[in-house]
Amino acid sequence: MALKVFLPSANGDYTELNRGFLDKPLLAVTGKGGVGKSAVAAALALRHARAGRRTLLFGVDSIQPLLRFFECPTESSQQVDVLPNLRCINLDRQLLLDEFIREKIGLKLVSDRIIQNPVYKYFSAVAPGIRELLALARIHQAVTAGWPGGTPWERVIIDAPATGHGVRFFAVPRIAINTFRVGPLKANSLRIKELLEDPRQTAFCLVTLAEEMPVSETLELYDHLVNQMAMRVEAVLVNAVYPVAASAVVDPDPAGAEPAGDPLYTRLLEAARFAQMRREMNERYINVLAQRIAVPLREIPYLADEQFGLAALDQLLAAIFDSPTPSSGVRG
Amino acid sequence: MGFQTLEQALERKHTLVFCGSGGVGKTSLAAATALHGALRGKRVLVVTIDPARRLADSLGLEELGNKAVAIDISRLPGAENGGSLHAMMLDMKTAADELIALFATSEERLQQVLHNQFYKTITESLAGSQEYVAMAKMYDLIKRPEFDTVVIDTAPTKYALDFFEAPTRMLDFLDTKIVGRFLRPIKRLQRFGWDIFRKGSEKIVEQLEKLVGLNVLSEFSAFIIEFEDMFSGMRDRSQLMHGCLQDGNQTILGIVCSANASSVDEAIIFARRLQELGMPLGFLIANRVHRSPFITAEDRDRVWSLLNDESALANLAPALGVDHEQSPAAAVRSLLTDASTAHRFARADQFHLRRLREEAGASIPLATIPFLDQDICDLDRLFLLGSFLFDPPRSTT
Repeated sequence: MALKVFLPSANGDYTELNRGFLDKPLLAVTGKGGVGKSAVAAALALRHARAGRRTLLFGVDSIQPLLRFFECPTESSQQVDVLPNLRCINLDRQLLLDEFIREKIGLKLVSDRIIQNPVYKYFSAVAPGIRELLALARIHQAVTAGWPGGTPWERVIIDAPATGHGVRFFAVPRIAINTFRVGPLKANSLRIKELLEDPRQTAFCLVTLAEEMPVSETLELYDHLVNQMAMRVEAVLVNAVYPVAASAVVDPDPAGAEPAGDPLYTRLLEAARFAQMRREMNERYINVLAQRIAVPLREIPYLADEQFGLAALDQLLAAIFDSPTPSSGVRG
Repeated sequence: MGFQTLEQALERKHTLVFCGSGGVGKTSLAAATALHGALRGKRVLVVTIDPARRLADSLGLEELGNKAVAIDISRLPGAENGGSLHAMMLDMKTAADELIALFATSEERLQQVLHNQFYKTITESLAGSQEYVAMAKMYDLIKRPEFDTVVIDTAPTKYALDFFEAPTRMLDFLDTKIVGRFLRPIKRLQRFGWDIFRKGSEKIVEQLEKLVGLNVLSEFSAFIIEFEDMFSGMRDRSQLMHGCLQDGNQTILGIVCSANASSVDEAIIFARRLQELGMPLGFLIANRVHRSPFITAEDRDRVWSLLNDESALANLAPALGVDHEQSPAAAVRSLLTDASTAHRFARADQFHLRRLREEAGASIPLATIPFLDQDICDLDRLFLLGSFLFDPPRSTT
């Protein structure tokens, strides 16, 4: 007999998500690039908007990926009402800085001269974190003062920059407090830092893949946010976990595993074996995360994304909130 | 057969640049290419500037520094061809310091810059100037006589664009006469103090001061003044590097992506941008592409009809070599379900690959790498990954 097949049980372990994951006014979704961060941020925003909460979803430097999920035209608009109760805004860091100069200076003639000045351009390009700080200042305004529009937003979600850059993004207020010792930037930094560190107001959600590099980066990011920056991570979502229907144990003797006669059978077995190998690898890294991270983990199955729109967001939401995650029994 | 474009690039080009957004396996592919170059007898250096230390992981190294580390390839086929593989992870802070040291006119100037608060914060944070440094440092590496081939793994997309545009932006800045006009008052300011300067001088500096505070501006001006001497050296360097990158005889650029919506979107935008910048974009690699177990529509239909036929499923168990005493039909059904899932993923991937072909430039050769069942975490896996791009190394001795 070549192949032993085990059928996974339907009841895996299931950890309740913390209430804080959904209840806080500000949620920052972050993680390494390419792990599906934007999809998760969009799905969570969709859930809030459907529940009737006025929701603001921020992209940093780009909202094209977000607009795609809401099936909106992805032309370069900075602000789009994608659904009732849901607005997407792009935080373009250079534009924000120009805006800030205009607001603070007041006189158009003077502010225009500054903005067009090469020294200003150079300064703004190299000034440590100044653009990030202004992006965060907008987020702060959205949470506390209902920017834009004046009516308070009930939920603000950030599709935050990818890891390496992401840590720096949220660390900017702390660095800035030391750099800008006076002036409006200093005052801004203090306010933002307070908001980000306030466990009643801000939650972080990390998105990762169950693979070596994303997991090690997620562990670093988690440690950085929680232990060094005193921020509150409420959930870790493990995306693109490979779905398996069968858990096959392949006979170590390859001669025995070769099904006779039909080349299709060989390819079917190869596909099943591939799924099994990916799944086992995923399980290994989920175990690593579960051992090292003290917040609820949820698995999101790998989704084929030919038409990655609202339907895909629904599938994501179902995976995060509705069904217990089936486990093939590697864990526990 | 290997991917001809890259095979030839390894043979003929000196600098191979891999671009792409994060998480697509760009670093592994750059390293795999470098490895196969080495196994063809070249002396190859692979450089990463990605802050994520993936290359180090791929090569099984604990940590890479700004020094080129030799990788032992002796047990791999082709090692007898006499090539070598070195790897380097660019640490931006160190690279910046090295660069400053190179252009500083005196030890005193050097120390002033290195201790400038502004300089320190800039080189420690990622605020845009790092790309200047990376660019300039790359030039050093490309010019090293001890390497035949340099493979560069750039930072994720957005930052990579900064990286390519850095020389132009820097030249734009240095070219303006206004910079000189600004440097002079700031220079005077250093000598006579802020008060004199502020009374009669530029409104703009005064306004900036209000916004960011006196200390920041004074550090900034000191930074510019201390930097002034080094500008001409850096400017020459920028021009040379830009020339190198654009020189299609020496250099080839490629974009790596995954076969999913967002990664392909980014690759398309990036491809267009590179072409606009006049960069020699020479290849595309779609990584982690699912393979369908169904070759023909008939294969697919057979499996789908089997899934609806309980007795056929049970009968198939022996032919597939499936061993499940209680429920052979259910076991076979699960296997077929997994195969159908793979087919579904493969179909979605093909959809995005078609978009990539059509929109990134139909004339640019595209290679696809299958989704592998394991991580690339050591030299053997790296070799295996490379074998999807390159023919097996032949012994030339």
